[in-house]
Amino acid sequence: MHRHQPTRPGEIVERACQRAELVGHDLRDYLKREVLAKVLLRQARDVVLLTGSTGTGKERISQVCHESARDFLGRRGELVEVNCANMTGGLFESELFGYRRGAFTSADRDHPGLARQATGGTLVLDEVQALEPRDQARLLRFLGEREYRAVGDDRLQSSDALIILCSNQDLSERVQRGSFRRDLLDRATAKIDVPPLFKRRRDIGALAQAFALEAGRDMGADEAFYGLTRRAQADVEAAVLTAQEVSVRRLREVVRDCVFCAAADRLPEQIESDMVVPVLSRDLGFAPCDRDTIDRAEVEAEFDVEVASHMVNDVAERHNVSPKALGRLVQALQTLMDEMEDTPRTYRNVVERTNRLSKVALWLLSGAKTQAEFRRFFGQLDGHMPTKSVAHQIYHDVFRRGGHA
Amino acid sequence: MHRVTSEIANDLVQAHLETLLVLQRRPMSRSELADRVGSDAEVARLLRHGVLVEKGTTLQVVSSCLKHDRQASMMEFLRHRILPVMEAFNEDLSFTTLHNHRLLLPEARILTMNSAWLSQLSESLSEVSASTSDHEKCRLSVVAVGTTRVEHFIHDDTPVEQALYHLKWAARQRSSSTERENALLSHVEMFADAHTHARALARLQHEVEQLEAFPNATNEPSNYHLTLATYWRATEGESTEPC
Repeated sequence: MHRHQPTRPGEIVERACQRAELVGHDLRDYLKREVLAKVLLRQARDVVLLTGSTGTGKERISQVCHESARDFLGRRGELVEVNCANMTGGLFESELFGYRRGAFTSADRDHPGLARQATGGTLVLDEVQALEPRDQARLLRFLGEREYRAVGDDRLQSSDALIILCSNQDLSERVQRGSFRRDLLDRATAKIDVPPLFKRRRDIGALAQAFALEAGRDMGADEAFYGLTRRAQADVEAAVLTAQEVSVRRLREVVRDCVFCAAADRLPEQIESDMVVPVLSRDLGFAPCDRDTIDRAEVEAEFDVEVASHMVNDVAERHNVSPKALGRLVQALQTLMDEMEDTPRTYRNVVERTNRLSKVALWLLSGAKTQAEFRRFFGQLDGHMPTKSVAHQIYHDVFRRGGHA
Repeated sequence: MHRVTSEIANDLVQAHLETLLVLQRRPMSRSELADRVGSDAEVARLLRHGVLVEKGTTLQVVSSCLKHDRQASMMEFLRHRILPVMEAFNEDLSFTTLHNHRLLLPEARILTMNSAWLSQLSESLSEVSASTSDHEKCRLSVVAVGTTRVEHFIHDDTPVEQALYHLKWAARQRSSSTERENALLSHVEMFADAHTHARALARLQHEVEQLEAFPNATNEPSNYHLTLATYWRATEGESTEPC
């Protein structure tokens, strides 16, 4: 029987997410967009900066990037991961670029280096913020031309590895403090920011359920253990949102606590609300009234959009965009129109204002500080970038002072 | 009406709602039901938690009327249970109804709307749904929304707009420990043929009239808005027209 092989990039990323065991629609939908835009459409040529708090799954997301590039672009090289925090005292250069036998005292044989090992594949540099200044300079040179020399070797080598720089820190802030090079940060033109757990609203219940079932399996429970009830999952959701917990790893610990505490004498068929609340209270400071707070906030934020979504769903399908995205766009346009106090809300004025502000918003989304950086946000090929005159116009719309936006 | 109150039972009802609704129309053998819900172990769970009962060689739902209690978030409850019924309303379609009632109720009565009146309403519908007939039955959803927040009533709003306004306020109040009992938000599912459908609508009207019949010696404006919406249609996978 012929198995369906995904060919559309969205399907390819989805399959990679499944293999990486990434749970949650919010995250998967996000990655489908980001990996497509930041890796696949750029032919894996741009340096990716993958940021996110500890425990948010950066390692698995790197795996998703690697496998998506492999399946969509036919890249057959390895996934090579290195923790920069372990690469001090000159180790970074020799490990990354390799060395010839005899290049230094302990070099008793040739070592090809990780850059070569990752050729045609993916090189992940985790905790990149930990690099010493001279190693940052070496990395910068490598990221520029993708050429390097092994230690003790005159030959110039090259590597076309997809390069992913990972960090759980705010590198812009580090640049301002002078501990990270700005030009190195600027070299990473494709940015993927992993959302913290509390911003992945739809995923929390699914993650909690997955972790509960995993804990049950670890306890030797057979198929007669069904994880958390829907109400217990909702308690976990409310606890995570109220505590603004960022880490998926932490959630796993808490849920496992819930299961193990509920087990006591014997693991129940399913973990109910009254079994999880004490653990959530102890570990995340949760109180049952927090559910009310979350519910009220959600009603304020989502009710009107939900009501409007009835029509939005139909229109979104026709325009191949998610109803959520289209609904948010409608809300944003409403806000812009509401703020047009001094200008008549004619069709022409509204369209002119929203078109201009859309481009301004695109600039802000890119995080660019210069017109060149803004242009590179869309890729390295001329056909992908806005023209210089367009970038110039948008730059002035963003940064000009006075007048109406 | 039999109340299924455990979390596990509520989850089972939600997970297998379509099958349970079909089961309301006709009994099934255990093997047929196991095919529908995924396994015999799942059938055992439904029995163990009181959602199903065995009657001879067949299995039946414990009640002909299913009342959904909110388990997860408020928006999830509104999105999946309440809004689809209210938004289905169309003045030209006889199988959808929506009535907004502006009531003047004593304070004590307001505080019992969510318990006594709702319970009475559910029992009333359950009694109607339990009647047997050979006529084909379709799914009937009944939504009740009540709120004491009446201050922004706009006469020009359409019935649906008014109902959605009530719903938003009721949702806010039901999410507040201090205002919870000032609002009601309920969703009931049952099966009805044409005759039962008419009886159910009449019962709803009767239960509301019982409220309005409460002595009102003053000409004060209303202090409680109640919306009742119904949607009578075939189950999932069939046409959306009533039978």
